[in-house]
Amino acid sequence: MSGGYVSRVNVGWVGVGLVVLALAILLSPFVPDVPRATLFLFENAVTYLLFGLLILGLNLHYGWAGLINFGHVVFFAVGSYTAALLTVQDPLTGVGLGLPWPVGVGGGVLAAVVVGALLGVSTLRLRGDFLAVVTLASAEIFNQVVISLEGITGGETGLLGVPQPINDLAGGNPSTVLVTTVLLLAGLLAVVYAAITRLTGSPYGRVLRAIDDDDQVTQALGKDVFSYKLNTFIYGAAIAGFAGTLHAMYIGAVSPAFYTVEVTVVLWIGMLLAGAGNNRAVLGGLAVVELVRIGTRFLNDTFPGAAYQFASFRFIVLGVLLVAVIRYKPEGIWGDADRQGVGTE
Amino acid sequence: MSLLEVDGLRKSFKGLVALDGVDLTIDRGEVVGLIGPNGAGKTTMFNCMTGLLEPDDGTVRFGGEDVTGRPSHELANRGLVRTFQNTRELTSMTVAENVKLAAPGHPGERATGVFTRPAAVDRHEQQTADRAAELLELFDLAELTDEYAGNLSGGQRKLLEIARALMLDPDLLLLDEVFAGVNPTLTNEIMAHIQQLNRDGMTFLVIEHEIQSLSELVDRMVVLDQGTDLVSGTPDEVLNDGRVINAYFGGQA
Amino acid sequence: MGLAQNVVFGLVTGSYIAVAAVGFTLIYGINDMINFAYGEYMTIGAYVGLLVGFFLPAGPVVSILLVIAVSAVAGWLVARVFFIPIKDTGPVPLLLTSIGVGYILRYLIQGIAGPDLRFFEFQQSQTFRTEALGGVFVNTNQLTIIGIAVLVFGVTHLLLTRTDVGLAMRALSKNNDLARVSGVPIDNIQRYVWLLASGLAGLSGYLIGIQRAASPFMGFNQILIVLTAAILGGAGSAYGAIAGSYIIGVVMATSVGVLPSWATELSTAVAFAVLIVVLLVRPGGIASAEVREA
Repeated sequence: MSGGYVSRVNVGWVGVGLVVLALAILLSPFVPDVPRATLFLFENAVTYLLFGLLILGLNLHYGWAGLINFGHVVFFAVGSYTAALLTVQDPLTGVGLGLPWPVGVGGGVLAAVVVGALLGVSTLRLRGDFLAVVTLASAEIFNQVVISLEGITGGETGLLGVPQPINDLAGGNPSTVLVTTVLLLAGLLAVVYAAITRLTGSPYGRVLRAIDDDDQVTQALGKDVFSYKLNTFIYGAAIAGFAGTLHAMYIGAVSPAFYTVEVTVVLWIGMLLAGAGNNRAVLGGLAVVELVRIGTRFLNDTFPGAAYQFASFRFIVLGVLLVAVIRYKPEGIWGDADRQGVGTE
Repeated sequence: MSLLEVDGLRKSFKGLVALDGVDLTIDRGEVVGLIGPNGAGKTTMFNCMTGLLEPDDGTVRFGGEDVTGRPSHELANRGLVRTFQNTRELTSMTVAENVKLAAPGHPGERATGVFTRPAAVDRHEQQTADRAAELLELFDLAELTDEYAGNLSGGQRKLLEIARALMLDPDLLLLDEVFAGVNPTLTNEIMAHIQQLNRDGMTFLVIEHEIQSLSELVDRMVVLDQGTDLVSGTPDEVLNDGRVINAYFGGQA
Repeated sequence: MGLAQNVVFGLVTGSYIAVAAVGFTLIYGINDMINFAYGEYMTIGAYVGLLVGFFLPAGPVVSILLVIAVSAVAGWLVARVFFIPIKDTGPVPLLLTSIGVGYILRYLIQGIAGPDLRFFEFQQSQTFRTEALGGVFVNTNQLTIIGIAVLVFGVTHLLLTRTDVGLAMRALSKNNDLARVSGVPIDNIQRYVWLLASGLAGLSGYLIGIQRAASPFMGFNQILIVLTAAILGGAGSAYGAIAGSYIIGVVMATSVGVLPSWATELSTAVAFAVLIVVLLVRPGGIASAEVREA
């Protein structure tokens, strides 16, 4: 276990290094010269990195503690909206308190923790498939509440004018913004990854695996199972909330369209495809799914039929992927059949 | 003061009375056997005593304190540990991990410990690994250390179940039908272990159907029938008691 | 808008939810799965009804029977391909698979039929008004839906209590192992459950369609409500599901009347909140079944 410690700590330090590098570029007059054509790659990288944070949290829930969370996007949304509500100044629609952006980040994470605790306390005593339903329902409730409370949240339009600290420091240069954002997010992801793998590689992780395997026995061996489940749920929620605040401050806006159930589905496909439980693998699985999404976007021109039909086609592919993984490779590409599989009940 | 005192335990399931006022006392250092015909309530009683079920009425006192209805993890940490009738080894983990899991008071099992006390965590993990190796050696499972627990034979699983429970250093160990389906050689082996552990100070309560082996093992037997305790005494006394024979053979004596 | 009027709306909603919830509950109780593609089973019914309306000069009765029959077979075929092969893997893979299947069906329908709403051709319905209860409007469409639902409940009840197949279904839902041992042909019975439940789903979709319109997402929008109704009534109990559906229907309709105008969209959120509360407080619902950690 100590050997693994070393590489984990290294990844963490690399992450810190990337964050420092990003800040250095931002604060210096240096402008990274990146060909226009590749800018879209950076944009996709931002999405990948944010989703990476989400999937690590979800993996903690499902891959390690065996909790079926099908509403993970709600923590992402709560983090984003809270950050927005706290930091937007004089919005056209909705409410904003105009506080400095660090308050937004802190508030967003805190809000996600609170929601995670509520959901955790109330739902962790339920059987797996019912937990899935309740988490899914919670995400839908949040979405609807946000859309309904137009006066506060800006309804379908959302809130604009979320502070974008990177943009401000970069002097509005799109190249600088994208490059530093990618570096920053990559650094943060690396740090979070290091922290999570440290946790899961420790005896704490052993208890999680035991809970996933047989929680009644684990309890009979002296472990407070409910407490572990609740805490794990909160950690994953906090990370997702953090990702939410970052997303809001990258885009500069929040809107219900960003936080749909499709996000959760993409995360699950990535996780199951790779083999839930393995932190490195799920990041790989996410990459595969993202590549498929980006790749198929290019097929748009060659696709015969209307635009909405192509969009439908891509969703059908998503569904087929999910079904196929569960049926034919439940332990995932990089998973260990001995250790786990979606269907080992 | 007795180690375990059960007083007037009652439990019903949707109108079916499983326990109808059970009393049981176990003193430190005893090896007590719990027998009774099928459906007498032995496992229900175990479950009520170990926090898996909440009794409808009655009290359970352990080490002088009232622990009625407390959850199983709390009881395990207080020294009241049980094994399961159908061995519940964690099949997705190795034999060694199964045993190490049970280590009590591990700073590495708390998130704060993992991040703020790495040295203490490493130290405790080393101690845990050593103790686990000791126990596996004791039960002849050392070669299977890195084998997935699901690949073990029935007998090996029984031994693993016991080794794992011992990791908690229990004051009172409840064994639920530990001899069921076990060959005579292994039965003797397990009995020898129990006797040695008892000499070293551990108290035992053993549920069993295998009355023959049990008679040799225990100081005292308690018979449960239709949810209440019928008789308590030495194996000789109990097995020759008319009421016990009645209970097993339904009044055909 | 008076309370009584809202109750009328609630009864209509409750009716088509109940028809769906009975089928959903049968799948949960007997085939042991939460079928998240059930919404699409409903959507299929609506579109079948549309096609029947376009291509055949069929009267209402024949249309309904055709909708039920075609939906039954379609639902069973989908199950045959996706769910039955993995039916022993446990509730979680089945649920996740059904979520995926839902995606496939939903977007297949959208791809083929287009995203637009499609309305049913019907004669103008007659509206009645009574002075009782403070003046309530009711039209023939609504009465038809309630009537059909009640008829369906009656038929289903007879099926479950008077036929061998029905009794076998109830045996299976109460105690799987016992039924297995006493020779109940499980695979057969589960096939009948798929047929019956899919037929009910299709009928429910059709009823919704003639009330409003058919669209690719119509069933998906109802799935959580159907689930809520089923759980409120007691996961696994068909009769409970009926009761739960009407309760939900009335609650949603009256909350629309009670909530301030900016919150009218929240009626579904209210239903979901009910779901969560029920699962925490009394997970067995009205009929008290097993839903907590095993």
